Amino acid sequence: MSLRPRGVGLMIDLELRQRVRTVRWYIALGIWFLLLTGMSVLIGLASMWLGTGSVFGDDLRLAGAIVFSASVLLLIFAMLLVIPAMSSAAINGDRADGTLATLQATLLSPLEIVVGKVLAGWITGLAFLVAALPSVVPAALLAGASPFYVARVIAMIAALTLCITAIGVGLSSLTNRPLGSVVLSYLVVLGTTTILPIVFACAAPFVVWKHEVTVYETEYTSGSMDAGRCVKTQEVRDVVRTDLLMPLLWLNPFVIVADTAPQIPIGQDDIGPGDIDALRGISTLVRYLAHPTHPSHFVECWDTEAEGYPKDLEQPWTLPVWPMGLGAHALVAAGAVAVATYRIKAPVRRLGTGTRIA
Amino acid sequence: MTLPQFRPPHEGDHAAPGGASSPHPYGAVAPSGPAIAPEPGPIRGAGSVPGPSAPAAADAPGIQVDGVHRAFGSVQAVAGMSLTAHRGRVTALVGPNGCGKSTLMLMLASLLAPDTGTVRICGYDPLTHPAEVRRLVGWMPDQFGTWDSLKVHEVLSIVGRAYFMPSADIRQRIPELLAEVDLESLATQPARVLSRGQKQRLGLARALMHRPQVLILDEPASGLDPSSRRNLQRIVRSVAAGGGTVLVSSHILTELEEMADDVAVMDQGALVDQSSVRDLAHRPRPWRLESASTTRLHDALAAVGLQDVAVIPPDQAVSGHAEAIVMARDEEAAARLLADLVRADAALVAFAPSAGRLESAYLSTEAAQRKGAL
Repeated sequence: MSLRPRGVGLMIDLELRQRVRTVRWYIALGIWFLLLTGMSVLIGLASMWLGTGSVFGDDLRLAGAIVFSASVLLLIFAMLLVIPAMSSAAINGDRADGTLATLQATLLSPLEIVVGKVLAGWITGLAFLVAALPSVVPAALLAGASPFYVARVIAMIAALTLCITAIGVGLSSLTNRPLGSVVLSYLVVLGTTTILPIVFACAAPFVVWKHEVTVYETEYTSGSMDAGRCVKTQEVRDVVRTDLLMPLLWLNPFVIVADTAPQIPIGQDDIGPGDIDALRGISTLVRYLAHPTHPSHFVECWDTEAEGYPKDLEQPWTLPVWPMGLGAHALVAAGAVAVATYRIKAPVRRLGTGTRIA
Repeated sequence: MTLPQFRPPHEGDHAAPGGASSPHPYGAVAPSGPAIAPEPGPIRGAGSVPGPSAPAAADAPGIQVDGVHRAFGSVQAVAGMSLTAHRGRVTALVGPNGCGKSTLMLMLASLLAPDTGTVRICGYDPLTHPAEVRRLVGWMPDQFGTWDSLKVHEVLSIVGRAYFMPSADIRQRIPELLAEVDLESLATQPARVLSRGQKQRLGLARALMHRPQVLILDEPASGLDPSSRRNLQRIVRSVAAGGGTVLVSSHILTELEEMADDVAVMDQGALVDQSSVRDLAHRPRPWRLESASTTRLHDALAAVGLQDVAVIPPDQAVSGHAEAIVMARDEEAAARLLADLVRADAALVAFAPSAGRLESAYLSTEAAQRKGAL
């Protein structure tokens, strides 16, 4: 099964030419840009109105952080709507149009056809991502977000776009009609973004285990509530083993992207207004959920300067979740490419019911 | 329909080809009779084919099909088809709708695998050497898309690139082909503006783009205007003249007759008749007689032993002449009949086959007798 750059390049060229020649493509891109930019402006105005109304200093940073994170979440949501629609008719749409067989009868290999379609779909998705940047980058600048933070978020959305495009192409090879594969793609999106988190929440009561843990509590002295020392005791507590359920959240695109954000520096005194946003909040929460038995969860001394306060417990958020999520997406995407390649391999020995070659 | 038999007084009975008993040398063969046994010709069924690992031979037939079966669920589309199409010849593939022509062509184009049996293209098996087969085959399906948003010349460029042709060769080939199929003026137009016939011509150019040695055309003439059909014939003949193998299916048998060297008739997934078009001259077919006088035609027919032939009076005939149709066994018999009728003072103004050789051959098969066969 050959994968020649010339063959892949031809497929990308063919797919992109067809897309850029249609008016609806430009209309979609224009609506996309206006929608996201408009929403960002709206969120920004609302954030400032909820604050002091100042357009300087901390209020601006806070508003910027809110707009940035909200815009990224909106962007992920919008991408999840657009990408399946663009990629899920790649194979069965061409078959219905009578153009797939023409390609199959040439020297292009099935892998070149599929990879070319995936990459063309990805490039199209990236165009939508680029068109969304004006709604994201200015807010990130206002929030004073690190360029690496912004770059990580954008890179992760781009990577997920590639995976979802590949999954859409794979699904389009499984069904005879484009409508079927588009619906299937949206079901996959619904499953990862909504169904699995609901299953996660509903399954939590079933993974409550009793654990003997070391608990740090404040022991107040001299009858005063102002001073005390931190003492540790061994207790048996009910612990929700959310770590066992975490695979259900790995595939969630919101979780994967948010997990690339820096964590909220809890316990530090110098948390700035730009240090708290929705992405950081999700990331911090997810990492807590991934390590429910971490010793730091049982430190109930609030005064970090108190005598006996444990300084050597580290924090659970040092272990990221996104590699598992992205890895799972990449595996499914690779599987989708393999399935699509197999499905368009010719000469065909077994033809699916209702499938026409040409 | 059984036509009256012609019994000239000066000749004895002859056996009809194919075993049908005929009491007269002119023919007297019912058009609905069984297919006639194939005469030696370039198309042969069930020929021997090289083994699975046999390399392509320079002298291997362009197309060789041996005992091929292909089913789609409970529908047996191709059932024991065998066929050989030689290089340098145009082979017409005819048969009723649903007889398996397009399925066979999909297998020849290396898109569909046979359930059993073997297919060879210039000696290559599409199952084991698909790339070699695709390099050799140009395929024009009966229904195809054209990437509607691409310009006409871009469609050909894409196809050339898909065959990994050198860029310079593609640049040279595109104008050649556009001129060949008369689409030069539409080269920069998007394919979506093309009419059906123009799309057919583009499809033909697409199939020819990589200079295939084997050309497989499925209903290429549908939607073409008369001039374009002539051009199609010219192109097909030129491919064969260049040593290529052409397999073409169509329901327009008169046109196939003009472009084809050989004919293969398929029915219910199998080959039921085969011949060279030239040899079809030795097959029975109906001849139309037109006379200036009903009475003289009737008397002349009676004089040559065809008194049972119905004569249509001029006021009921489309031509405005008295008409009759007589089955002649072959063209030689038809020539004798004409001479005899002239001698018998039939006042003939026209004497011509009422159907082409190919059409007659097809209509003589069982496939053509079934309801809805055409």
